[in-house]
Amino acid sequence: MDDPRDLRIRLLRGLLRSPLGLRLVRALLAGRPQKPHHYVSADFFLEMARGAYASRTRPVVWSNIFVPSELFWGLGIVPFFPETWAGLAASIGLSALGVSQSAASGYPVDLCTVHRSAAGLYASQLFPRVDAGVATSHACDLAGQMVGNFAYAKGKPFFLLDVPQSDDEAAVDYLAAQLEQLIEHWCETLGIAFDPDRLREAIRLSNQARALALEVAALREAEPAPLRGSGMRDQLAMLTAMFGHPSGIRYYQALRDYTAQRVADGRPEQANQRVRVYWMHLMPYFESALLSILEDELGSVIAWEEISTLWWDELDERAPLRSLARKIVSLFFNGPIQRRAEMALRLIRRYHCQGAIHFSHWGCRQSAGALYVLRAHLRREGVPLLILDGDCIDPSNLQLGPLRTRIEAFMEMLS
Amino acid sequence: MYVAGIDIGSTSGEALILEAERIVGWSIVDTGYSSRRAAEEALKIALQRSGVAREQLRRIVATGYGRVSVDFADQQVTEISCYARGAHFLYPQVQTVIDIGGQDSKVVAVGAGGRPLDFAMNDKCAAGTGRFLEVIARVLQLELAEMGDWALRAKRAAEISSTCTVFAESEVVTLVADGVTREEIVAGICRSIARRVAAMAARVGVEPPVMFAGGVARNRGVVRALEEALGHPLIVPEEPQIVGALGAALIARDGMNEGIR
Repeated sequence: MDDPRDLRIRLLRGLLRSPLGLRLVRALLAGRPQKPHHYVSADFFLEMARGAYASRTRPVVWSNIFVPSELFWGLGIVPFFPETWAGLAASIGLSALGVSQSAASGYPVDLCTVHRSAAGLYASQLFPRVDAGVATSHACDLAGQMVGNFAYAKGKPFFLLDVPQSDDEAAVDYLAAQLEQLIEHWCETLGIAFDPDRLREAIRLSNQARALALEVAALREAEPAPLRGSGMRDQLAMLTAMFGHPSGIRYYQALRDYTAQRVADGRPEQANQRVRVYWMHLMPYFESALLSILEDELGSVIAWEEISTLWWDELDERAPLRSLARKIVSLFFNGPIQRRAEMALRLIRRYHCQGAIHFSHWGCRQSAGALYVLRAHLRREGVPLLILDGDCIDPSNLQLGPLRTRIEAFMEMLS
Repeated sequence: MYVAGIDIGSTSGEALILEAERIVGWSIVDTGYSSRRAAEEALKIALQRSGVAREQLRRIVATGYGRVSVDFADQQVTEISCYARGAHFLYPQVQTVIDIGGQDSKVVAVGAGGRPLDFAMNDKCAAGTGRFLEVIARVLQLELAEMGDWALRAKRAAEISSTCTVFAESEVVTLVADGVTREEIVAGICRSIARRVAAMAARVGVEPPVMFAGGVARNRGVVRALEEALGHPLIVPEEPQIVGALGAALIARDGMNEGIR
């Protein structure tokens, strides 16, 4: 599918498939000045890439981001999240490649660019092998269909977890039974041996990371805000991949310490802080002037991001599958929109935000479709909502001029 | 004490000179290729008409899509704030402002003192803007200024199903070939714009009294169609194009009063 003349694709393919190439990337990253937690996350994702691309010993299962990562780490499976890797590709300037290749694969242009980019990267053979696919049916139904497509194209099994809309015990029972079936299915098809102690260990690791992440959330209540909201755009990847893995603890420890130091020193990452806002949905993964206009030029601090919200209760290692089932159904994108709207209001109050910004990512129905209810809920509580139409993957779909006017007008309204 | 407001839109630029509560002069020019040049020209003409020297201006506020190019202004403010402020000055009871300009349209909910409370904008698509009328005027070989009268003469409005300017142009060609009168086509176009803008206005919530500003407010066909679509009568100022520049001048005056330089 790819253009054989594109040297860049061939180089990348070689780099990703070779343990030596990945070690080289790791060495390069280690030599670059970064925040302490970024070293941990880069190392974690490179390790995951090494497992997915270069290892032949562990099964690689492709998944949407809402299948609990504890399940993979607790079963000795290497997860591969096409959505996360599409975001990562956008951050290093590869979105155009993915998006254009997806058109050649027949995906219509009004589909979400996260999934189109993933499809294009898949078509360009930049993704690793797939041994099985799994997805949840909630939050984003396209994600499940795309993972299903990828697995089907390679003749691999695909398992869909049917997630009820309600967040109650019956829903948990129903989903926990499916998780049990899924494990049996993987034991049969992937040849893995289920070790309950290993799963319990993943649950313990997840809970420890969770406690640290909650400390970070508490530290971020400080005013001035210690962290730059735009710097947290990768949080969804962390929340959906790291829990259950030792790196999750290391990452949130480093982030907690870094944030605490900023608070203690009274040295916020963002100097100009005039207005506090709550950011809903995704942010551009690529470098864009949009966020620097918002933060540096206009002094709007993103005090909290919806995607940084750790939504689940502490997991119970005595009942791991029920706990993971509860984690899935309690996601704020699942069920009635009011659940998400009420969470938004709680966070807006907690972080003393004067307004909210919803970034309507191109083609994402599951988030933008809720705007009427979200706006009504926020308006009732006197919270202005700015809706920005854009794209978190494809820079050509982010028109800065019109967005600037909207952001400036919103800031004028708030101040 | 004189202050100036300059509104540089995609099609036209306006400048307005204000002394306290009194509008002493204003101008409208084509924007052309350079927003800065248009701003200079509009200001020069407005000053000439006002009998005010440039040195007498204490503060200049620029607004509109070209505001960032007006580097000689003391402050840049968005058209959202300026339209709300200008409309409130002209009609203090106004709660909603609809502006349809050359290449964009916007709806602003106006609060106490002319503060914007909420807004919606369309600046991505030419449908629902003055550009839409220009394109159709060319196809029908009509003068833009006379389109409103053509629409008002229609006994019924043709159904223009497309909301895209390019496709609507082809649709109009087909309607002409089918023998539909120009009056009916123009009325259909006015209704198409009105429906699109009314849908955008609903996002903000239309509270009367509603002011209709911007160049397209001069088109009586669109005014009538928009009144029908909204279910409210519209207040059209005598000079609908200068509301943004007026708001900018008022903000400049406020800035002087607050000691901002």
